[in-house]
Amino acid sequence: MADNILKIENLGYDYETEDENGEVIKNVALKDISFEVKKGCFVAIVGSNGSGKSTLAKNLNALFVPSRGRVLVCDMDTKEADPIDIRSKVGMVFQNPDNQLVSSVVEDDVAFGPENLGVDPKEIRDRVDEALSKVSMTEHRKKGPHLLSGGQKQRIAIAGVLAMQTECIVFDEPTAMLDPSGRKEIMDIIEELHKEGKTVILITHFMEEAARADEVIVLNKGEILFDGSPKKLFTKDNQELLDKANLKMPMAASLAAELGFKDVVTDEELINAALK
Amino acid sequence: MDIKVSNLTHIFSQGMPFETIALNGITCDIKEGEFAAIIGRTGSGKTTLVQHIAGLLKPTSGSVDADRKKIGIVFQYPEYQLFEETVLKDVCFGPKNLGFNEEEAEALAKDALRLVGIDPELMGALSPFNLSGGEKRRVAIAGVLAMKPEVLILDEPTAGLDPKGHDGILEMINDIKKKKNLTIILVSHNMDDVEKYAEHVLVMHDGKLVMDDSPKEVFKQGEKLIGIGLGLPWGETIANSLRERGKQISKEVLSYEDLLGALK
Amino acid sequence: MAIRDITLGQYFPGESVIHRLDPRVKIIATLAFLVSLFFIKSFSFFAFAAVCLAICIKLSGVPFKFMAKGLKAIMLLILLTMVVNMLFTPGEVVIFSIWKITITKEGIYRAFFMAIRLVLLIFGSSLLTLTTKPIALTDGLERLMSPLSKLGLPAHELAMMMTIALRFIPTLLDETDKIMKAQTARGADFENGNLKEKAKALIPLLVPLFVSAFRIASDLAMAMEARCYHGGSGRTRMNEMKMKSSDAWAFVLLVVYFAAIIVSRRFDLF
Repeated sequence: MADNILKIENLGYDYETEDENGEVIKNVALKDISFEVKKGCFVAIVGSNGSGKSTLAKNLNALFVPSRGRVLVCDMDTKEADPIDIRSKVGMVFQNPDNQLVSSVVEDDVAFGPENLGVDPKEIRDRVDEALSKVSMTEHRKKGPHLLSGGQKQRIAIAGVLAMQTECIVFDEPTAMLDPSGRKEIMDIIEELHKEGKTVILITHFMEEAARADEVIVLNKGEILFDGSPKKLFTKDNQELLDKANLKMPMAASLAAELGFKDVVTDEELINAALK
Repeated sequence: MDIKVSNLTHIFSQGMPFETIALNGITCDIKEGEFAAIIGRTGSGKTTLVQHIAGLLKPTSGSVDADRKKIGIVFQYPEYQLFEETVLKDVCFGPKNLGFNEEEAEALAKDALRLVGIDPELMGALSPFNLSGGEKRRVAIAGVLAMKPEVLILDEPTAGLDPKGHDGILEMINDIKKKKNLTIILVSHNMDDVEKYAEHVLVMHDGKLVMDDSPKEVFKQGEKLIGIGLGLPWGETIANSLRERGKQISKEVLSYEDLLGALK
Repeated sequence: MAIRDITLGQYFPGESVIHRLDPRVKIIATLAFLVSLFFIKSFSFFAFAAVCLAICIKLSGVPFKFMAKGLKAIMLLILLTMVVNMLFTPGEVVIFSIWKITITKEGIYRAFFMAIRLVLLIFGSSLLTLTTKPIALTDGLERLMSPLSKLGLPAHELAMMMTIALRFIPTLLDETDKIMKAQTARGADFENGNLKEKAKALIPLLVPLFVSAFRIASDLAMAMEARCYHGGSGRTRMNEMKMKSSDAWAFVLLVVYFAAIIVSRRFDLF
C-alpha cells in the first residue's frame, strides 16, 4: 500500500447558485490546493469562518467532488471510485453534535456505519463495544443522544467512525460548538487516536488545537497561505500572515514570543521553557 | 434598575418520573450598570436562571424583582430567530411589538444596527439569510437592542464564532455597555472573557448558586472551580502548573498580562 | 423544556414481562386485540376482553393513572360518538322523545357499546406504546413488513424515516421552545388575538423553525452519507431479534383469546 493516505492535486471547488434570471453564478470556494497526507500523520487545517476549510474537508471523502484537479484517497480518485470505498477509508466527524447522530439509542448509532458496510452482526457488536469503551461512553450505551452533553455526543460521533475502522478520520471543527471541558475531552481523544497510529485531519479555528498537530495548513479565501510545522508557523515573523488569514497566535506562542522563548507553541512547552 | 432574585426555585416536569430541579433556592442581586457574568457547566442552571430574570419562565417558588419591559435577552445562536425578508424589517420586529409606529421603529432599528457595526443604509435591505455568520449574529443582537433595554442578557453570545469574531462581539458588547450605560448579564464558559470584562461573577453548580463575588475573589478559589468542572483563566492555569513544579509566582496572576509581567 | 412535558404516545420505562416481549409479538397481539374488538357483539365478551387487557396492564406495571391520561385527550371524541349513536340509531323501544329527537333503547345500547369499544381500543394501543421503546417498535415494524418489500413496499425506507423522526422530535421540540421564548422576549404574542392575528403571529416562529429543520436535514443527510449509508440493500443489523419462550407463550395465549372471541360469535354465546 502506498504511504500516502491522501493526495490532493490542484484541487479547485466552486459552489454554483442561480440568480433571479436563472443564470448560474460560480462562487470559487477553493483554488489550486495541493498537499499530501502520510499514514499516521496529524494535520491541522486552519482558517477563519468562510475560508473554505469545511469545503476542503468535504472534498476529502467524496461528499463533494472537485470542480478542478483531483483528490486521491489511497490511490483512488474520488471522482471515479465508488464513494462507499472512499468513505470506508476516510471517516468524518462533523461540527454540530446534534445533527449527525441517526438513532435515538447510542449504541445503535455507533452501529450505523458498520451496518451500512454489511459487517457481520457479531463483529458489529464487538466493534461497537470497543469503540464505545475507547471514547469512555460504555455506561451511556442505552441512552438517547438528547440526554447527553455536547462533548458526549461528539464522543458518540467519534465512536461511530471508529466502528467503521477507517484509515483516516477527518474532524470538521468538532469542538466549535462545545464548552471548554467538552473541547478538552475531544482534543484528548484525538491526540490519543493519533498516538495509536490513526491518520488524523483536524479542521479548526482554535490555534491552541492546531499547535498540537504535526503539520498545519493555513487557508485563506480558498487558498493555502502556509503549509508547515506549528513551530514554523507560530513565530513573530508570521504575524502578518496570521493577521491576513484573520487568525490569532495561540496564547502560549504569543507569550513565548514576547519573552523570547524559542520553539514554544503549546502550553506544555511554555511551562517547560519558563522553568529553565 | 437593580435586579433582585429571592429564593428562586424551578422544577421541570414536577410530579413526573423525570422531574428535575433546575434551580434550587437562588438568591442574588445584580446592580444597575454592572457587568455581571454567570458561569457554570452545561446543565448547571445558568440558562434557566437568565430566562427567569427575563420573565420567560414562571418560578415554582420564590421571585425575581425587576421590570421585565426593561430587560432584553439574546439567546444562544440568536441568528436562528431571524425571519423577516430584510435586515431592517427584522430589527423592527421588537420595537413594533412595543407599539412604536413604522417610522419610530425604523429609527430605533437603524440606531441599533449602527451600534452593532452594521450600516443600515448598506445592508438594511438585504435578506438576513444571505449574511455571513458573524453579521447574522450582530443583526440578531441589534433586534434586541432596538427595544432599548436597560439590562442586556447574553447567553453565550460568541458560541461557534472564530477567535477574531469572538473578540469582536465581546468588544462590541463592552462598548455598547459604556455608551448606553447598560447592565450586562453575560452567560459564559470562557474564563478569560469573564476575567477580562466582568465586575461580578455568579457561579452555578447543579442548580445552586455556589459563588457570588468579584472575579478576583472567585478565581482565587481555583480548586473549588476545578472541583465543579470549570476551568480557570489561561494565565492562572499556566501559573498554577509552574507553581506546582516549584516556581515562585504570586497568587494574583490571573490573566495573560499578569503572567507576562510575572515571567519577565 | 416546557413543551416536553406533554406526554404523547410515551414510553413508560420498566422491566416487566410485557416490556420484555419481542416487539413483533406485541405488535401482532395489539393488532389482533384491536381486530377482536370489532368481532365482539355482546357486553359480556367486552368484559372478557377488558379483563384480559387489565391482566396485561397489571403485568406491565404501568400505573392505571398514567394510562388514563391518554384517555383524557380524546374524551370529547368518545362523548361525541355516544351522542351521535344515541340520536341516529333507529330502534323500536322509545324511551323518550322531544320535538324531532327520539332516544331509543337500541340507541343507548349502541352508544355505550361504541364507547366501550373506543376505550378498549385506546387502552390496548397505548399499552403497546407505553411498554415498547419507540425504536424497538420501529425495528419490529420494519421486520414484520420486510416480506412485503418484495412486493415493492419500501419497508426499510419507512422504518428509517420513523427512526430519524423519533431521533429528531426532541431536538425540534427544544428548537421550537427556544425560538418561541426568543420571539416572546422580542414582544411577540402567541396567545392573544383573533384567529387571523394568531396565524400571523406564528410567522416569526415558523420561518426560523423551517430554516432549522432544513439545516438539520441537510447536516444529517451529509453525516449519513459519510457513514456509507446507501439504502437498505446489503445492510446488516447489529441486533438480530430472537424469539424467547415467553414470546411463544404470549402467542399461544393470544391464539386462545382470539379463538374464544370467534367461537363466541359463531355460536352466539351469551
